[in-house]
Amino acid sequence: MFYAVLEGLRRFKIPHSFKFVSIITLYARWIREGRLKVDPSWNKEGLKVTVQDPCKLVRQGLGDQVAEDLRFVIKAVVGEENFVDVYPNMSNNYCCGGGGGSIQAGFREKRMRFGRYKFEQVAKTGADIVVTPCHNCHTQLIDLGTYYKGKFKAVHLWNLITKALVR
Amino acid sequence: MGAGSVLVVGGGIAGVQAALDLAAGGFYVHLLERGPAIGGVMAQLDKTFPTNDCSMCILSPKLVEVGRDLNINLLTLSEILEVSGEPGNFKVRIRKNPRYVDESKCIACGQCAEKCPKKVPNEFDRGLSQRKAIYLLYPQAVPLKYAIDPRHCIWLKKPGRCGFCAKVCPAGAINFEDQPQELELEVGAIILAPGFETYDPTPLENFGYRRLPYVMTAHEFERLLSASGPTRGELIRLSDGRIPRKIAWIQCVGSRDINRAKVPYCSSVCCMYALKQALIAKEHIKGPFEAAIFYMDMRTMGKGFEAYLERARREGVRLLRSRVHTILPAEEGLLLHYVDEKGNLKDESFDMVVLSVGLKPHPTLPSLSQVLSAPQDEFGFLETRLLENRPGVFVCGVGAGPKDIPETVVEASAAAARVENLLAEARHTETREKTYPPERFVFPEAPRIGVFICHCGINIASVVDVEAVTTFARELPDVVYAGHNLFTCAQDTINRIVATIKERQLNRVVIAACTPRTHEPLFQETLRAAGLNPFLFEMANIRDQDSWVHPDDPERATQKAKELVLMAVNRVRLKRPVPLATIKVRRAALVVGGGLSGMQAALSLANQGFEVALVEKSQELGGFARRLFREVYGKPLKVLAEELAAKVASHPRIDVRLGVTISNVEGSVGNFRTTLSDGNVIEHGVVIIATGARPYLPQGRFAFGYGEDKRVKTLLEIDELLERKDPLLKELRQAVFIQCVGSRNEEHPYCSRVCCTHTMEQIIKLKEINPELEIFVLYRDIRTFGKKEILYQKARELGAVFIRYTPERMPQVETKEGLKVLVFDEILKRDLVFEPNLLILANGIVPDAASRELAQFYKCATTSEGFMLEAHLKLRPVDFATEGVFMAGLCHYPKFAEESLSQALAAAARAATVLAKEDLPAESLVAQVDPRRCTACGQCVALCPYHAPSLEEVRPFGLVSVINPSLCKGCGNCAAACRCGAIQVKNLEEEPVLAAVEGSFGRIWY
Amino acid sequence: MSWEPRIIAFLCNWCSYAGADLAGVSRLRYPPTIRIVRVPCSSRVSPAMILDALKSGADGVLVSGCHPGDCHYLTGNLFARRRFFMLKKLLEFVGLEPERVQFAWVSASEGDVFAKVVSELTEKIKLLGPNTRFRKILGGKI
Repeated sequence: MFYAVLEGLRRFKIPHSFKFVSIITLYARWIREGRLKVDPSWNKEGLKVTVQDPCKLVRQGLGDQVAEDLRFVIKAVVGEENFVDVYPNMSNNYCCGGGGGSIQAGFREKRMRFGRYKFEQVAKTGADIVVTPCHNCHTQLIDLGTYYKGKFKAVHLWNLITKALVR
Repeated sequence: MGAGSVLVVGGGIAGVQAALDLAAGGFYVHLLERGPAIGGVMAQLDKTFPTNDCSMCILSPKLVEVGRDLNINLLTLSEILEVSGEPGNFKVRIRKNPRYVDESKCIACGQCAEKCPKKVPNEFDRGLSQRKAIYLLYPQAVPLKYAIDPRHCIWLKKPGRCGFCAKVCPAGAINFEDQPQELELEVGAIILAPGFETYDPTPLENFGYRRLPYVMTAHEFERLLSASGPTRGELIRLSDGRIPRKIAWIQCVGSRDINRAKVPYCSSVCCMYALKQALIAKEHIKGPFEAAIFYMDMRTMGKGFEAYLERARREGVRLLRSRVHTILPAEEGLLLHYVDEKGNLKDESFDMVVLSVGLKPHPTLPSLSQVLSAPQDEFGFLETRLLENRPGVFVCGVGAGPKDIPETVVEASAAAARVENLLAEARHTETREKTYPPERFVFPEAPRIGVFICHCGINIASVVDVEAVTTFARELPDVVYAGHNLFTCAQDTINRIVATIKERQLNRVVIAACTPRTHEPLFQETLRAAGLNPFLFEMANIRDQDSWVHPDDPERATQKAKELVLMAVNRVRLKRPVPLATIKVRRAALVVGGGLSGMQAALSLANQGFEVALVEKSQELGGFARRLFREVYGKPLKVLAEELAAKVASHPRIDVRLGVTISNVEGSVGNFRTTLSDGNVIEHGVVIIATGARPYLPQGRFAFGYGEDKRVKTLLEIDELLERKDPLLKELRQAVFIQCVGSRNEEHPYCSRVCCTHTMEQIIKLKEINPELEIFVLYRDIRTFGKKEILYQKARELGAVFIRYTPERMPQVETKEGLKVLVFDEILKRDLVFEPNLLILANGIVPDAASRELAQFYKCATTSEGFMLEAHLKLRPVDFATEGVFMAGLCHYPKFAEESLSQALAAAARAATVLAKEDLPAESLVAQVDPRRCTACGQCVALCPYHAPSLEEVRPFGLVSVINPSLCKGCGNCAAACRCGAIQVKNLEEEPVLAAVEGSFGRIWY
Repeated sequence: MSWEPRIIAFLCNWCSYAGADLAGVSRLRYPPTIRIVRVPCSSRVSPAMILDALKSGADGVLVSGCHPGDCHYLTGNLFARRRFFMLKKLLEFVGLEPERVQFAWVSASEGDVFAKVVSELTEKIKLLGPNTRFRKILGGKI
């Protein structure tokens, strides 16, 4: 939805008076400004966390800046030392392999084949959790984890933020 | 004053070609180059496609010619400060930066660089090797003079600190006090040939350039392949010295990338150079080798390119249509992730990855554009309209947009033609010519040989005992003078030689010094200045081929020097004076073909002041251009053609002959006699062939229902519909294009170059008329090269859908029950069926059968396809191998109207180099036949590539071979082949050769 | 002094002679056994010239031209190659070691190749020994 509107406005050069800001950028700003108080101490087990940069949000959408914000928020909520980045990353990241409506349309076999790189890349980090702010990537990563028998879980960013919220 | 001079900016191949054509056409040229030597990027290349010629070998003679031309003033290390004035009368202020080496003294011995302690990255090798702070850009550099790099020189930074070069220089050429100079030139026109820079892929971090050791750019790889490169042509990985057994090329790095690199255009040359590098790498590496090229569309749209692609495929170069996502470091190599055409994810490791980087405007372009008020286009290249940027300022080469070497050379000659049109009246007003005293008649004299032996500073004298060689020479029979000089090529020594020749009445001269390749012309001039025939001369190469290669063995080097001198003395004794040959030129031109190219060529020559006859077989001028619906330089092509036709028809110096063909041709360069079909005879000095080509008529396997169903049309027929704004176009619902109809198949194994772009133009027009029209394009590779890529982009934006097919699964067309097009989509892996209202066949261009016949009249060659064959695919793209015959337009190869116009101008410039002079210098040392010995076997006729010999009836000898001296190049092939010994090359008979051989054994030969 | 072979080289002006010059410019070393005769094109070298050189006392003959396709005179080097192939057969037939004559392609940018060709040919001919089977004995002093 976010990307569809953004790209539509861009491609057809439709004049508009509003800005596109991702909630991630807002999380990051709020944390920096101290308005959103988070504390990584909940992560007692030292769960390793990695990230999935969604294509539509980062490479095709808002660019590396939002990916930086995403990393900033993750580090703030899970502890800097517990974050392991994937390689390649940000604008140059691998696609999860579940886009283009293939999750809804049921191309499961193909989806798993296309997602192999994503799985290997995430598995290589040794992370327990992979964070993604995209619904599509989320479902795909859960499926990949089950299919290739990975140990990681895919979670949304807000799941971790709620864990780390200081009451 | 000033109108007879031209400023050419840029010493690459474009600037060099423009300068040479202008100088030969009667203009004085200032050739400005920012670096210390001319040559440009072409000098850095190893081989050139599609002939795999050694780049330096074909370029170097041109550079030497520039260096020697009296009418080219070479301004190296120079930049333009200010330009004022108007066409015909520009004032240019130039700064010449200091070289710190006196050009008139430097003998390029290289001792300075050997001693220089400061090593810096060598930009000529793209930083892969190191050079010294005092350096020669490359070994064949013109001018062959060292230069000090002030950014690195220790002395220049802290005077008094180093100065080793000044201490060792035997000629005293080092001048640390050298200062920048400002010059003011008056010129009539300016040609810009600023060149390009390759894209720096560092920002594309996924390719890991500069981060991963085995990733390099194609420009660097070119140096790695080059025999003069950092490894002397050994193909190894520089970081670990291992031979790469598996190399991948990644195409479109910094081209066709609007996403990250932000370069929307196609760089035109990368597909071909990647194929070339893959083939050359295969030649270099012994043992197993694998090459893979990852590409988007394989763009081999030039002459001979498609055959080159097929050759690469046959030799096992893997072509993978895929964009590589990332290059990852792997054990001992690199890992590439990509998706193959079947949609499978692949991981493959390679030993080395070459990034096929695109061409970008040169970084100095913005400032150049500002100084000259020369507008740039949206990509930063200089704007041009038929090579003109603004009145009096012309642009050629990659500075105007990405292109390959032949196109660059064509543009350079064409720019020269435009200048010659502008300044026609000032021709020969500022050129200089050397004058010589009359030649002494030495024929009856006994040989009186003078031997001059050169020390070349210490280059020769430190190894060879010059004194002993002189004594040896003095005692040889017929030698009346032998002496030695410190620098024989220095001006004062030259004057002394002239005096000695006169004083001692010498009639043969031997100079034992460096190589005749660079110095023979200089010494021959010396002989002429002394009133001697220049061919009574021989050089003994005792530096490059003696003292420099045997420095550890002075004794044997001296012995060798003596023998080399004896060889030269033996040989020179047998030499005879040969008159310098010239041809009287009939200063008129014939242009065959009245299409766009023919008209443009005729008009250009007529405007330059030459008489032109234009022959056209139909009853109307204009040709093919009248049928195309395109815009060229902002004007409909049809209008452009009609305007040209009107100008040609009314020009007082153009004699238009319509409705005639050529029935016979006699003569050769300078003096052709062409008989027309109506019996009239035209006498002319040159001929330009511009006979055009035909559109392919879809038939047989490639008919696609053409002729069966009215809805199947060719591109040209759509042009007609568009031209008359047919109401039918508004009612269409769906249109399908099929590309490569009559191109790239077994019948016509070449790409027709223009169809993809013309398809895009039609898509855009059709969408303008009928925005709801669905358009599908069935294609093999989209070849919208250069800035034409933008049209492809626009067609996609407008919603045209592109579906790729392969020649193995051609689209099928059914016409029985309505029009149906069936195609297998390579991405979906499914059959698609269309029922369009219009099926457009992008038909190619095929040669005209009449071309071949015409070529035979002028003894010219055609390619196997039937297009005209140029003298050299790279550097002589409008000349035939036969002197005085030039070509332009579609008869050469399919091309755009813009390119035809440029080529026509180029042909006019080349023709003008012949017509500009009354006497054309010709090869003097030609072969001649002794009719008494000739048996008319015809061997010589069969083997001469220049068609110089022919069998003719000569009284009283009967049928014998006769060699036309104006066509002969003096290679001697016929002399070696002649079974009766009837053919001899002047001054190169068997005897002088044997005399030289005898001399090498210390024996004298009388 | 030990015997040293004497090799006559016919080099074409445009490529191989330039290659020999480049060997000098690059300060490469090769044995001083070779005497270079400059010809416009390798195709000027007739088999008779090669035979004459052998007859006059050459222990080896080298003919070198441009690489195929690079010939300054378009196709001369290909003719030379064909003639040379024939000559080799002839030499074999008359009983002369065919290794004494060699054909090479050396371009203007291959100074190192030229030096290598000369060094290798010298070694090869050293193994063969002096050319005695095809030698004209002259009255004059050698």
